[in-house]
Amino acid sequence: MLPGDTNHRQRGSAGLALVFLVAVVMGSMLMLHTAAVISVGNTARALDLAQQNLTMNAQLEQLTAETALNVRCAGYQPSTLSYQEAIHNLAALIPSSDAIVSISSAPSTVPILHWYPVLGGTPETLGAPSADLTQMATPELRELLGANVSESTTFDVNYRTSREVRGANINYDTTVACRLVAVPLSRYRISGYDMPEDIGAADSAVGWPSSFAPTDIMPRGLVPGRDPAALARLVTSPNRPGHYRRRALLAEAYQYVFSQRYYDRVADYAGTTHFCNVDGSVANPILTGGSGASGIYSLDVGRFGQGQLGSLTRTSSAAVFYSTMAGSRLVLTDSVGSGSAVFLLVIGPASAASGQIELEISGSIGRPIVIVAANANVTAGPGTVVNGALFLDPQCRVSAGNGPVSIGHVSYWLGSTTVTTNAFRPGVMPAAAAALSPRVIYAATLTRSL
Amino acid sequence: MTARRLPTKGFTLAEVIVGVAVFGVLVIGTLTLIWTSHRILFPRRIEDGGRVLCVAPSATTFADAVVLHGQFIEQLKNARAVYVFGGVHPSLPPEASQLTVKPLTAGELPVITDFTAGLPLGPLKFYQLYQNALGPMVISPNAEDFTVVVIGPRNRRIELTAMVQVRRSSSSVSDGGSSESFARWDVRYYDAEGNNSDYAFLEHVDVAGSAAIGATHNWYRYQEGVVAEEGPVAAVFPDPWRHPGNRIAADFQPPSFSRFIYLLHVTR
Repeated sequence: MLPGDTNHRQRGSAGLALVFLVAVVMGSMLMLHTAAVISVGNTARALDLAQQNLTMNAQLEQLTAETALNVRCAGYQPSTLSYQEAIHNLAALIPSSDAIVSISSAPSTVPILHWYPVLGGTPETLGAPSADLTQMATPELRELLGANVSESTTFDVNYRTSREVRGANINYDTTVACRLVAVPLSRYRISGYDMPEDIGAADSAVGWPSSFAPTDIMPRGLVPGRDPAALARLVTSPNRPGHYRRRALLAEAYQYVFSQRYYDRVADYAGTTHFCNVDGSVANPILTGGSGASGIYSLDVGRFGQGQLGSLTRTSSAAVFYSTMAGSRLVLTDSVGSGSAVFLLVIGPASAASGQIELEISGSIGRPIVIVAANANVTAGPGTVVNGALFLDPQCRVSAGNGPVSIGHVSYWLGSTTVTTNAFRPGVMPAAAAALSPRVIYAATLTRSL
Repeated sequence: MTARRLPTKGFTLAEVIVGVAVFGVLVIGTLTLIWTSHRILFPRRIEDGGRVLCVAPSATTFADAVVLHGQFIEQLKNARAVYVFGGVHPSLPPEASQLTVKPLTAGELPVITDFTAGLPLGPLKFYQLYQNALGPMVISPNAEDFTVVVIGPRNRRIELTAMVQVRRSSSSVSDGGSSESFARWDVRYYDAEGNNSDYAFLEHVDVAGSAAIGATHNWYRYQEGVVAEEGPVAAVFPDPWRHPGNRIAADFQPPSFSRFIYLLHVTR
């Protein structure tokens, strides 16, 4: 071996060793750096998962509530689906891009809330929201509930959410508690309501009675000018915002109140002894406090209660008065001024074009009363006080020149041009009348920690 | 016979040039990695206001932030209402500007156990109802400052369950004739279980100025004296690391954004 070869190899080995050393140091630092970044990344991903679960919890609460509402009161008639079937159908709509939601357990049925009139049963009494309900209610729902509600028992739905994280399947178990609550539509003293069509929430499950079908002239809802509390610049989406879900529930409830099914329900409850034709064209039952002839029927509300048809005599808190002709008149008086609450359903001719039934409130009514009026022209003398609630369908007419009427509650269609806004002023709503008012159903939910 | 002359030189010129180049690259890379790793693993620490704070990016402060936000998320899971005080209101008409509220000064969790006065649909009304418990507002807050108040069930009652305070302040460090300016971020969390946690860090003002930290309010509707109903608030908290860890140096400029972003609903 020559001396030059040795030097060459020694220098070469030293150079390689130096490069190797630098590479080792650099690799170590790279690994350290990578480990730090991965560590931070893993911590951050854990936080991301927690945030995803936060969102998922909100979705599961909504799923639970919507299913309960769909099963129990979509169109205010019980669904043919069980709760389990309905919730599986709805859960299938949740995108499964990052998580798979399965329902571990769900009740087959949800509780029923009964309210007046209940044929052969007893409506639930109203009371203050329970502590369980209060802790479940969001601010919006609390506002809508008010002080008098009826509640169902709480039922639970258990979910399992599965996510694949770095090759591992992670399951989260969540329990959502749900409680239905019914609120009288007399919750607010003066309510302007929407119809479902107004807010894009048309529900085919409830059909209008053919004789009261709304026309196309009904304006669209939730647009500037329709919602008195809306600002044009804040309501820009043509789609129905989720924010208005409960407003849609209210619209459905009012649609039900002015539907054939509700009229039938009241008529069944009132019975033939309290089912009166104001036109006088057919034989009427004899109502205590009632009398009529030639298209004018007078009812002394203070004495109302007993009705007689042939040999059948009954006492009822409800009565139906209807007219098929324009101009027939129902005159309400109260010679007593007190008593248990009464419920009157007043139905006019088929459409406003055919004329209306005249509903004249002649003097103040002190006895607690709920009046549901369809296609009626309501008149009252100045200073009249009605100790109860008046629900007006979209075809009703109220003249401001005859008012204002002090009343515990009035509901009118927000799009109406025939109910002047100064026709009423808020009065006293007796609890006995509130108990007979139609109700809207909401659902409250809460995620339970496991 | 003449003997062949053996080479005495170890490397050719080309070998030397290549070797120096490779070595240089390796050394520079190593030094860069060492410097970066050192900055991340051992971030610069500065004493500010009696507290030693890291200059972002800081992995350890990020870990503290994750702990705090984990606690916050737990409270949000069952929240029935969330009110955000402070922030900007880009969608609110000028005539409704009186609805804006400033952050709270509270240094501990306010105690409200009686909510019979109601849970309103906006923070101003909430403040008016429970002002005695919430205390005064900050007189001149920074645009990035905000306070989050969480209302939720606790022991089958509605209570104020958590509060988070986010504050930005200015800080400068003098070193001889030169000085550096920093933005200081403080995030403090309080809950009804007695858990108090916080994280704080410094950030070069240039970077802090480009970060979109703060609360942005959305409104559903407003009519004076009738209704004031807030939509969700986009709340962006300070992030000492920045998603997804790509802020590899203190002077790194966006695009980088906070990982701690929430949509906080007054109601749902």
